[in-house]
Amino acid sequence: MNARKLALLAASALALAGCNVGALKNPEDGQAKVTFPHSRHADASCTDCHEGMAKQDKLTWSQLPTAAKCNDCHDPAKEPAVATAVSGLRKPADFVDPKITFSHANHLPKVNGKCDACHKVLSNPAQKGSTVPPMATCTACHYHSEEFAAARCQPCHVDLKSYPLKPLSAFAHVGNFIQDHAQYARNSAAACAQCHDQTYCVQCHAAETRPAKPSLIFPEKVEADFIHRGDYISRHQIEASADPASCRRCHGSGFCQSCHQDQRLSSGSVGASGTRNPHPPGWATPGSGQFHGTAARNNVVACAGCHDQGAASICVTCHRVGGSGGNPHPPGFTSQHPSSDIARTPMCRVCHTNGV
Amino acid sequence: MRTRSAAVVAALALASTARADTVEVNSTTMLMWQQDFRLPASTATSQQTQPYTVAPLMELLSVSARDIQNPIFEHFELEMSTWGGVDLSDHRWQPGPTLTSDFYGDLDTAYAKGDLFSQHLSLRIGRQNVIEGNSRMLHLDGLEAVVQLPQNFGVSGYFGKPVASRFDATGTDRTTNPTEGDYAGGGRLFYSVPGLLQAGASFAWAVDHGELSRQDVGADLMITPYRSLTFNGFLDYSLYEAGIAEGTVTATWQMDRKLSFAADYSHLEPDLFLPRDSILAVFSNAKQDNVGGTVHFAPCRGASLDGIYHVLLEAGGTGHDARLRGTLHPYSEYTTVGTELRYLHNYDNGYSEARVFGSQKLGRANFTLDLQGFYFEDVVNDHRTSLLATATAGYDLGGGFSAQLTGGGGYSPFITDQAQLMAKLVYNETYHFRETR
Repeated sequence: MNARKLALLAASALALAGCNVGALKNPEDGQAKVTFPHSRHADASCTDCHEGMAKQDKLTWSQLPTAAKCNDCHDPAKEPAVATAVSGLRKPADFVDPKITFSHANHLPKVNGKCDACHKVLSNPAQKGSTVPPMATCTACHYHSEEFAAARCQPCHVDLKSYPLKPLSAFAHVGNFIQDHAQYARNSAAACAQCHDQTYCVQCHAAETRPAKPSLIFPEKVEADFIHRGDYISRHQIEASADPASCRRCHGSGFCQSCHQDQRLSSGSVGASGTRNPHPPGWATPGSGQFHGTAARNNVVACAGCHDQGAASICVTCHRVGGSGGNPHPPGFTSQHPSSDIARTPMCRVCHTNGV
Repeated sequence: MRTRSAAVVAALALASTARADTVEVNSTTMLMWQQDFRLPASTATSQQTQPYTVAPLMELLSVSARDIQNPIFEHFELEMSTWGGVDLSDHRWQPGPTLTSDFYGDLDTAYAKGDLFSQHLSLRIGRQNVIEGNSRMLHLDGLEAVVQLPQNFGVSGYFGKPVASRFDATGTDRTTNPTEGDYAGGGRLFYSVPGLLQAGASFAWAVDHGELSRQDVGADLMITPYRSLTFNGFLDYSLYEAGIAEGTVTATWQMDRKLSFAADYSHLEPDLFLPRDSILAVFSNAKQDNVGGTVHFAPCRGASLDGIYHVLLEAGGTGHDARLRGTLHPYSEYTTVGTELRYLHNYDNGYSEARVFGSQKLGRANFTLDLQGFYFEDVVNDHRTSLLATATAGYDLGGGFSAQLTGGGGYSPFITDQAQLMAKLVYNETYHFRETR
């Protein structure tokens, strides 16, 4: 079976299996809590049960009506089925308080006491999905685009770092986000910082100091898109060749060299005994097809993995003025770097020892 | 001495968190046992790598204290992430010179941040990452300031010394930082039209041993003409070489929660990611162009499929990078199964990858399984395949504590019949002393 058929099969299987599961169920809800049937109480006004709501300036589930409120209309002795249902109703302790700054006392007068101005969907046994008014309900009246652009989520959201919300529209972390997130962070770092402080960022972005790669420290995070997961050593050369700039965003030459020297692929000093030569035959033969000059032109970043020692670099042995290696500069180099650069740039004088 | 000073600073910082509204603590204690490989220490003629057993015991600690009550700053916060370890067997490999001590540790981040003048001035001082503009996520010991100007303009600036392992147990100044240097600085001028665009012009500069190692200007732009459509652009231009180090353009269309598309193009000149004072900076002017896109499809809650493809146009030839990733939560969000397929073909080698992973939460217990296999187009160390399996079993002990055991094993081109074990104790708790509502 070729790769294309396999991919199609996998996609079909996922679509079929995933869409047949219906609503997600919480296995911890084994006690089968009862959802309050709002539709059966349409003849009552909201404040008949949710009394005192008009004075509430905080949002907590403790404001839910208690079972005693049901008894105002239902006699448990005469309606045992209702009494059973009431005893199974979700209680405030079953919910996590929303971390939103919101005052019903301030808002109800502005909608003339009409709760359904915001609460479009009410809980019912048949209702699937969330009944909490979405943020779009707030922004329908509150023009928050300036705060949104400046990533000022407080004071409406209370401490998004502790209670992060999964971004659904803007900054949805889907697709190639692990590779692409830099382009959002470059001009919207303040937005990232609403949920992530830098102790989170450095789990990946502190290659100079971090003791191990994230996939080694967090093997349980199987869904995370760690780019160095598993046997990365075997494939790092392939990845580096495919996107050399990507490696250099996080790793300087010292990172590569420390391991290459450990493996004696790079001795740090030319010709030390025991050094393994990783280069193919013909590496020093012009026109061989494996000539190092061509490889260096195509991917000099790979050379830096072993040979970036400044004046002590093996390259200088041959590519100095008067050396056997000839002029190593690419076409157009002298138009950007006139000979006057040599006098004021110590790196140039490593090879141009006589100043020309 | 440096380690002691760092410890005193850390202790003072921790002490001041007592007046914070929110304190988040994460501690991870890990005992690992795994096989490493390297040539024998002597410079004998042996060319065969030998397996070494490494067993580091490590403690990773991060503390975030937010909204610390003080008379000067608004939203004052302290962030610190640090770690230390001891080798119980052979020395493990870590970036930089080979370890000579059994003890080691370092500071990943440690900074104080606060706002002044009704958030018109934000200051961050300490070890931090600079994110904005063309800073390339610079890991810096220094200062960053952001000033909000009238008319939705703003300006930020940073200055400091690129991070090296100067706080580690050996106290060396060794560096593996891609921005090498004595000093680095830069800034960004930005402008936003709320809800429509964010634009910035940035500058990055670094000096290494008195020589310029980086001098770039950058421009970034994000336009959102419709809520579902976003255009991103970025350009980094090396003044020193008069060349474009990086240019990217991306269009993202999020049709709805079920379907989104992105198309992107990037132009890279990898040698311009080397410091300008590197001897290798004068050898190459290779260019690379990548074109591709992604599609995200979530047909229903609990299932998602991501497809990513890019063609890699390089000096050495044309490559292809394709990924397909599917994740499914059959039954509940506590059950996850997923698969990932990747095909990377480059002018000099490539590989195909198949990965299957899953996790299951059962009350306080949770289990994961991860199987990953690679087939290399050309041999890597005389082998074409790599197979690894990793399994974890964790248990929520309560009170913020959890314990986890990890076992892994497999076969790779460099180590046959490898094995890895890890025991981990994690404490993760957030303390809220005051919440503003």
